[in-house]
Amino acid sequence: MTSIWEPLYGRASRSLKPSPIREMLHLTRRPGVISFAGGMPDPAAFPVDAFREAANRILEEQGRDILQYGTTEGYPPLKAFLSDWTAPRMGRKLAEDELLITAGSTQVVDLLSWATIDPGDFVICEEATFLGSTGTMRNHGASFITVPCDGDGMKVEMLPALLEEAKAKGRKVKYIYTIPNFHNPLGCTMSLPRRRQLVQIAQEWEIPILEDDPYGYIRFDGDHLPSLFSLDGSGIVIYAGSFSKILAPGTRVGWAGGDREIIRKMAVFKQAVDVCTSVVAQAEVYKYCELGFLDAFLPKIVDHYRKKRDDFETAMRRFLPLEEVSWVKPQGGYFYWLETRRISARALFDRAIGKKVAFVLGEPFFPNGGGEQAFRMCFTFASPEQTEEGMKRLGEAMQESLNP
Amino acid sequence: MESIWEINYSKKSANVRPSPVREILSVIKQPGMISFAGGMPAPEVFPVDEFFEGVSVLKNDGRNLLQYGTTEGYPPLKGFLSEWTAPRMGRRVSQEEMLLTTGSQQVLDLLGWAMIDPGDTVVTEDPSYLAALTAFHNHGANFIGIPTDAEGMIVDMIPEAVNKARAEGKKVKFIYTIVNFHNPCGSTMSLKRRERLVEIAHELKLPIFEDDPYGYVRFDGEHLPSIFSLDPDGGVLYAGSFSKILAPGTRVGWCTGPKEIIRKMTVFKQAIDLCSSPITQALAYEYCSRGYLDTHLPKIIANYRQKRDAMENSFKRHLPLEEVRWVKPEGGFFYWIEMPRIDVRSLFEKAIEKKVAFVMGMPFFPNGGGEHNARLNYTYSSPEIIDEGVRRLGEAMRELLAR
Repeated sequence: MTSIWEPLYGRASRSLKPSPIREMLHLTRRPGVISFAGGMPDPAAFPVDAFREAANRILEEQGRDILQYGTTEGYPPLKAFLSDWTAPRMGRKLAEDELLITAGSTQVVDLLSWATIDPGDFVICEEATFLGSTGTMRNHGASFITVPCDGDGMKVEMLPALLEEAKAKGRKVKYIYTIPNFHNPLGCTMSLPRRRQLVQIAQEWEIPILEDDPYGYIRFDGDHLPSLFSLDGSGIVIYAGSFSKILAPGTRVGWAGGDREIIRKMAVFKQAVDVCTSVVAQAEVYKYCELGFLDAFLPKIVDHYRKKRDDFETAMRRFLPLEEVSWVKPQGGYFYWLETRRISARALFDRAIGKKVAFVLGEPFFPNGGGEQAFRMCFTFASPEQTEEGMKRLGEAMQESLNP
Repeated sequence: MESIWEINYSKKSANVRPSPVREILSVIKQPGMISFAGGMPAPEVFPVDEFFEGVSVLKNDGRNLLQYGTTEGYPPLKGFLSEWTAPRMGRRVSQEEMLLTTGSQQVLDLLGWAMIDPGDTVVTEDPSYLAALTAFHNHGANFIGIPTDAEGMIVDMIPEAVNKARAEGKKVKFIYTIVNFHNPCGSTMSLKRRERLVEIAHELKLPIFEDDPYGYVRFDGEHLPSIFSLDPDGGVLYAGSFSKILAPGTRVGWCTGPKEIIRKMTVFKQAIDLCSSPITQALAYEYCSRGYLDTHLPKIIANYRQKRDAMENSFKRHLPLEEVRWVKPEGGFFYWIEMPRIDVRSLFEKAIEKKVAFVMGMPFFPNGGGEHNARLNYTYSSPEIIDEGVRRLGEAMRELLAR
């Protein structure tokens, strides 16, 4: 019997797919499974005591104020802090009305999509990209034009031809979505020449850019590169940042930086979506930053993950059949992206789960198909012992796939 | 010249409406202004010390709470709510029948995602909660407004209105109602109407969205059964919130309904904010599990009852009684006044000159109306301020009537 609800579902509901990662996580939670699947921080890297101190302090000092509704735009002291703290990356200090505090950076994608996407519109993105974001855009009715990538990120030189083609087909491209640093899932970082070229093309074509940068501050090697926002100056780049990776995801505090006109539009949508982000959470984060903990702990978090990345690299070299698999060593972030020469990722996944080690298949990251011989592994969550044992099992699973 | 953003706006963006309270924010912030405009709790009722005792949870469980949480919500808080809401819901609901949200505002957006396609129709009270109308409007909804009286929505008018819309080829998706201490009307739906509403919804095969942010803030009389509890067939989604019974800064709300729709909304929530902050959910749980929700709620109610009484007395003292009508609310945050001979726009201008602010009636009506209505909040100001504000308002009214 159908329920009273089902015949009344909307379009988005009828075509709704749960996040494949979330669904896969059920498999990875089985006892004894070593998981490289989820993109989660290592709880051991959380600055619990510092955060608790900040929480106690702010509640003591500002308790009554922060229990009230906040402005939709965000807790002003946190915005002022972010304006200063992000200035090196943004190229300047953002004004208060150029910043919007959000429920994690996921909400930035949702709000920008509210503001720009009508069903049938297109978003340009890397050929494989963060599932959560494409899921959000898809709910708004977006389709995708994908751009191939290499070790230097999106091949932006292909954009003009893709844009011409879209124009010829009457497709409306609403924005270009890119993760320039330590890409999820590809692990690559967009080179400086490509960044400059991307901004120039976007300006010429009058297409906004959503620069999603949750991992940007988690850099292990080399120098930070200028953000797309800082290379623009004309107001076409919306930058999305997050405290999830530089402090902790449980805060659910992220931010958007960009032109005041679009920030204002997104804030009006946010009124209807959740009124404001928890002031308690924003104020706790603010106090943590203001007490100097962000600057004190971030290098420790980066060191912690650099070591994990190195352990992962070592274990891969030791246990995986190197002639059958290739990867680019990420300079930061959370992920390794592996491409196999002959092995089907799906068959490997089944074998790996049998041996109690899990990763995420490549396919769901490709909005327009692909990735049958690729998969993603997160190196931040597992302990060094688990990494070694998990990689040993994965190596075995690969060997068996090659010689069934 | 159009900006790069303008040329890339969605259709929704072109006609999105900012909240009218926010539009008059600069007016409200003028020095000396008395504002009845917002819908905010009084900060003096916030249980600051009791709430902050809960921070110790970070010591024991910090590593877990700083991590991503499940989209469905912090299980201990869901367990608590299942028990605590059982009298109102008619039974203890299971974990799969409940979703924790970022305030109850998010429930509106999530149900919009699940149900509404552009051009679909939602049945609401006429007038109704602004931010609900906006949330549904953003999803492309049109509205059938059903008039209200002192007993709430006049539910017997629903079948004809829905059948007419259906005959015109419109898809009607659900009935949205605020049953207790309505925003903005202040009225409460009678038991008879609640029972009738469930019958009507069954006949029309329409789900009901019961929005109840104020239900626990009752000053007089007995609590009435929720619509949810009157419908055994899974046709009701209920939304609750900690904003009025603890504090809005937590941004913790919840919804209860059949597993099927809760699951749908959960998947949409993944794409919207992944999960609500486990930290604030845990702080709310600690507060509740220590018993403070039950011990402190009567204090909140007593504070607001006194202010409601203050506004009632000030109305009787200062307003031209033959020109103004209202229903005394039995709970909640608002008075809704009707002034058949006064144009509310002129009144608003005059009132602002005299430094008292309120929200005009028009934006609460989905399909027009409200030129002779105003909504006044009594929870935020002190009784003395309320009296002075109402005095100014009465003066403004008399001056307009004398013109």
